[in-house]
Amino acid sequence: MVTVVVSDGVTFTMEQDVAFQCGLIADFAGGGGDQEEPIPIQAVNSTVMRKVIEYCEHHRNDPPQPEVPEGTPLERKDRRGRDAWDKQFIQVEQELLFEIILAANYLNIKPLLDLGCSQVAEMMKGKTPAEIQQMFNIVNGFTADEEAQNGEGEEKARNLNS
Amino acid sequence: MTSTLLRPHTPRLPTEVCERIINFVVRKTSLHSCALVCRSWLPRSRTQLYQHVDVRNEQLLEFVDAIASYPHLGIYVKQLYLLVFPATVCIYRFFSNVVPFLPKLTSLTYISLSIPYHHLSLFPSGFRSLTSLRLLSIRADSFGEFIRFVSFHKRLIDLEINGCSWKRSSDHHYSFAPCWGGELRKLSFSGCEYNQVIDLFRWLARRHSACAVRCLEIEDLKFSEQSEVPFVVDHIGIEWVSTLKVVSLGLASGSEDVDGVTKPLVSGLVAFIGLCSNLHTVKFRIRFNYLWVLRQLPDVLSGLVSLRRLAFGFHANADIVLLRDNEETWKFVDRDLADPAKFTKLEYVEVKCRLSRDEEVSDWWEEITRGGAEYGGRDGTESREEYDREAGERDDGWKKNQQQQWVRSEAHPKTDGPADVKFPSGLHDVTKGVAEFHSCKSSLTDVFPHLSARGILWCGICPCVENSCMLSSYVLHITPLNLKDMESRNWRPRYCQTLFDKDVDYN
Repeated sequence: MVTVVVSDGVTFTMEQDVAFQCGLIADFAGGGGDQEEPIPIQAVNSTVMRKVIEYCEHHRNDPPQPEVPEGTPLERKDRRGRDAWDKQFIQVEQELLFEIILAANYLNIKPLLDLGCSQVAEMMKGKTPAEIQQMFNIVNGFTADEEAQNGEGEEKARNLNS
Repeated sequence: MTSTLLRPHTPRLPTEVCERIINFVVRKTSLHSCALVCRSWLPRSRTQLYQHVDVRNEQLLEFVDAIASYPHLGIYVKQLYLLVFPATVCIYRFFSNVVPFLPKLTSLTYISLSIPYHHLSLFPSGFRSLTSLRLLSIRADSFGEFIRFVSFHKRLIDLEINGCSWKRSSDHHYSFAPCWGGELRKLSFSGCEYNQVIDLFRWLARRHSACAVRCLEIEDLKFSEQSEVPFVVDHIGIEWVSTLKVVSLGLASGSEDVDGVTKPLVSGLVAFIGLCSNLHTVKFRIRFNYLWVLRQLPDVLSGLVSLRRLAFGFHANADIVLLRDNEETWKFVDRDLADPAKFTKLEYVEVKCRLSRDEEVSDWWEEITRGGAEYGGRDGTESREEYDREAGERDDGWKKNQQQQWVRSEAHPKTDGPADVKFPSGLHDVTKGVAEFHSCKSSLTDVFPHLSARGILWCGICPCVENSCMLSSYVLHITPLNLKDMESRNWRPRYCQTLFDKDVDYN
């Protein structure tokens, strides 16, 4: 068994095959037997950790996924590994979704990270640049000139690629 | 700088995560929006936008203009699909104004282009990075014009010719075709006329010193009354084929029978494989009555001392029947291929059946299930006590073999009939179905006893449904040697796909 303690002090105990889907925990535990000391996970709170464990428990018997190489057609990449359970699992509020993504990134759980990223990509459909900025809490860093130039270029390319 | 209303509770995602998200954005319009979100999103968005560019007809002019106005976009383009029909002068602007600004273009596909383009030699600096060229439905005035066009792309490693045509004449202009870089490693034909393949072979024979093709793929070869009979080994030359390592031959799509014209041509092609003395992989995909091809195979292949992998692919229901009802032919092939004196390096034999339409599935499963019953494989009804009693009277090798079968039967108990196989309603059912197939597929291990004894038999099955469901993405692959291992890993189709998708090394 592996025990972790998260940022709000809650302790979780997991079986090893569940815990070791998190690359960070597997590294921490060194691949050895049961951990006596709880592993501190300070970047994740208990709400998010519960979701992460739920995901890891569901996928505990999955075979290892090959890394999708750069340049793989997007359709294939997007379709990869998203079954009905995954789709249901990831239907959460945006704030929690972003926290799950951050946790998956921190804990090094690539399938969960990809699931979260593909869900966000799905949510970006039909949004304008300003709406995406708002969604991601991003301040536009372009100067007015750059914005005009990029806008013109993208407009031209949009006709080509649409 | 534009201000925007922020959502204070939304956590900020680091740039590398945002880039990962952009990788999942499929729609071009969304990618254009991403490019305008902020400076750090721009490069990844453009990479996603422009790495695969599909230009069709009048869009070519827009593409030419876009690259001319914003040449820095050209560095993102890695794959380009160019459909230009009818031919337009714009193509010259493409070669002169665009190609120099595509320094990372590695893959180019021309669709429906009409050759000749007489002024290609004016653009000698083109396509420095291009290694992969696909020619789809290209029409040329002559083979000489065709090969001149191909040769313009100097650094090709991979060339695919699909459904192209050119007029044949007595003078094929083999000799004046411009110099090729000599890096070509993979040559693929699909939907081509037999005579066109011969034209290319002859041309390669003239240039054998410059070419070192490692992989040759021929798919859906078409025959006609005008096809040259027999396959002219003396004209194609054998020097260049000595570099071949992998040959894949797909024959007679849509043709159920082999007529008098086709038979000697197919025989010639099969014999041609025997000339490729350094082959290590041979694949056959056949759609007609192949028994006579099989019978000549051991002789043809016996000279291939380097042969390591051999694959047979068949289509649909009729082939299952052929597989089942022609056991003697298969045993003949099995005995010869298993001869360690002839095929010292053989390590992999694959028998793969493929479906072509959804509606065939249920019939097909019925066929398989019935086939299994007729072969009398262990059906899962035997008790453990019966098994133990029988095992006690046999030697260890037999015990091991039967133990494996027993374990498989227990793990996937055989059902009464195909009605229980809900195929293709979901991947779980596919997994179950394939396991089912295997449990009654002692038939195949019976058919290949000698290969099995050498431990080199792989039996595969590919329920590939064209153009429709997810199943086409999955190639299911099973083997008597590793099924137990798969079960211990809670085997799923996706895992099997990775097993099958092992890249063939043709270098």
